[in-house]
Amino acid sequence: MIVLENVSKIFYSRHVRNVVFQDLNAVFPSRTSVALLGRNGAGKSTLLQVISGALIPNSGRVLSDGNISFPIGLANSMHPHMSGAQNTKFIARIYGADTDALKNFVEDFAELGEKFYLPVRTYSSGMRARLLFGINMGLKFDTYLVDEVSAVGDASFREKSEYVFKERMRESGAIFISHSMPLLRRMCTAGAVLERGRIAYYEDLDEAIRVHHANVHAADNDDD
Amino acid sequence: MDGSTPELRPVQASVSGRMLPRMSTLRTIAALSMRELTTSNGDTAGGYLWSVISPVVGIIGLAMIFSAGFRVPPLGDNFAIFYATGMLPFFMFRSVCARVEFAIQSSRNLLNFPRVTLFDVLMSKFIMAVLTQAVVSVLVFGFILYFYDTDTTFRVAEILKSFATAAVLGFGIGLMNCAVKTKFPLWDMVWNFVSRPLVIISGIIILVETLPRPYSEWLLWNPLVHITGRVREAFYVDYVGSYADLRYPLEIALVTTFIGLAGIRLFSRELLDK
Repeated sequence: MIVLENVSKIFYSRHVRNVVFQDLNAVFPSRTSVALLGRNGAGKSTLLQVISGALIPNSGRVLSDGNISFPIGLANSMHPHMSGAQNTKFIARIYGADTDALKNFVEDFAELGEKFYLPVRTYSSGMRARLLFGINMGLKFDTYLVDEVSAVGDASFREKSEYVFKERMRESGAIFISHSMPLLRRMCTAGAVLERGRIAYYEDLDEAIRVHHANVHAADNDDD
Repeated sequence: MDGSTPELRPVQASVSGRMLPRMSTLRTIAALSMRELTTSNGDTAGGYLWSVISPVVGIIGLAMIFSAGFRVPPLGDNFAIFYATGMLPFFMFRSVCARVEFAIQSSRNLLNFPRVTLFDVLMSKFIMAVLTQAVVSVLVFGFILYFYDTDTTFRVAEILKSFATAAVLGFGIGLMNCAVKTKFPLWDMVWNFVSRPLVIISGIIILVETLPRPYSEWLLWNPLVHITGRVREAFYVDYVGSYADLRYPLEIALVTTFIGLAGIRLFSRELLDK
């Protein structure tokens, strides 16, 4: 379970105040896969980083009863000069996991072949995403944070990923960002909509998607 | 939530969570240091070895050129060892200072992992810089003492104390610079100007007592002068660096470390947002 208590995040660049969101209050229940919806620039990724603990909110706090993954999808969190295997072992070390077990799991899962032992610099973006997704699925978290990992690999790989992800969802929860509604419908059961610095949680994913679409249309009409 | 009441606690997204050491700190620092070993100098063959080789070759090379040019150094009669006894403690200070100052900036992608705290990053850079510079110093001293007849002593305890002081001073000033320039980016420029002449005014080539009266006293405000003075004392039997007091650089190290840590804790949100 993750509880947001009056969470605000404000960025300052060149003394210009940019309020991403203010006083968010929400509860993400345990063992539930929640789709995080919102228009471009609504602050979905920032919220994920705040929940993970990578960014510190300007006010309020994030509470949890379990451990939370780092945001999957941030491909730049890997060292470009280290191989996939070295990056995997590094992450295993900082999370106190068995390095060899995780390496074997990821090597088998990500299907990178001999590229697994070459620098990440030489990977395509799809390969990076596969590697990072594999590392995350190999680690045990109570909440997985997934940021835009659609279009990864071919159909059979995607099927495998979805299968492994659903296996994990028996014991863990997730917060999932994606622009692909079919993917969200397959992976998530609930939804949360982030709009104009406010968040609303819906137990029914379809309702969340409806609200999200309404927001998108409203914004389009505003532009006209 | 099947009946059991889960215990809620804040995630690491708090100032102290990203700053203070915790249980996993030792493990993380070890992992970061290993990462540093495998990745410094990119894909170049030799990798980390170059971080040791290039300063060793640089110092020995310059020492040899100088000893060919200047027959008589200000102290003793071998220029190479004179140069090394001044330059190596100075390099210890400078490289630790630079590594710590830019530790957070250069570890941006690491800090995406909430497990990695600012403290972990600072400590691993500090440890790696000290170890690297220690190996460099041992190699340079070993080379010079083996190939030249320097006619010097080698008082290990004194030397270790002085080098440790240089490292701690570098840590403190590096931390302070890192904290101050988060809020005042101009500090970077100021520090550039201040630190540029350091190599001349730290008693490395020009000894303090060879300067005329008021200037030599002014120089004693520079903590590095005390460190190089102590190292010289440890090598030259007849050198009396009575002016050199390691307490002074240690006090400065303590004060700057405090300012640095307090500042980094205070500005940790800004540091992570950048």
